[in-house]
Amino acid sequence: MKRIILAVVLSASLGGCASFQAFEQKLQNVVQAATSATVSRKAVVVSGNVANGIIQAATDYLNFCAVNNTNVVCKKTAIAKLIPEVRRVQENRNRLEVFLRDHPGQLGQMGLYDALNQSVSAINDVLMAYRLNGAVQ
Amino acid sequence: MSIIFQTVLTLIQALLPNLGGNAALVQKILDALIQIVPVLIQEYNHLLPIVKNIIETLQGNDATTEAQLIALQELDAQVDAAFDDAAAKYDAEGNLIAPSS
Repeated sequence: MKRIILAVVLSASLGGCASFQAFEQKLQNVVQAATSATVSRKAVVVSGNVANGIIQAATDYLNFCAVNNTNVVCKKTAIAKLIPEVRRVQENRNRLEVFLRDHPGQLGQMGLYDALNQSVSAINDVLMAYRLNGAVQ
Repeated sequence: MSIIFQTVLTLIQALLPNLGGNAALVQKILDALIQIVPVLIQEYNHLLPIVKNIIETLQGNDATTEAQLIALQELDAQVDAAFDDAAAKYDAEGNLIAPSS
């Protein structure tokens, strides 16, 4: 962002410089590409389902530990990390779905899509770190 | 939950950016999902609607994707309600605060 602001300031002060205008055009292209990157609606819907599968895994784990609290796989630190991570996934998934609903026929926004995937990966990381993946059978 | 199911989901997630126009990849994902369906029916029935929605989305066209989006939002509500119930049994430190029903 600082670079973009600097570019705008430089642009204003060097407006007459042809080489800078070329640079400015390139910069605009990069910023435009970064902010308008999209993903197919199909990929978003599948991604939402993957998120739900991971949320369900977390739910199964919490339910398992509620009745098997002394089981070796039931760790307070894991549970304390898992719950806020799931909330983050729910938030990101909902934001992405609201975007699709409010923009019928348009592609999904890459930033929202990446945020969802990153938060899903964070849950996977917790499950892996505490070796909980196969815990609930 | 079966580690196989979670692994399949993680793989699908990683492959999603390459889906566009890649019919062979879509078919491979569908084959993998269809193979785990019998296991889900036997042991993880509650996961079936999620897999069904993924399969129908991948098999469908743009018009059916809209129907799957609506179905997904209904699944969201069910999955979130189940999670809220489970999470309510614990405090912020991960201690069990309510006996399981």
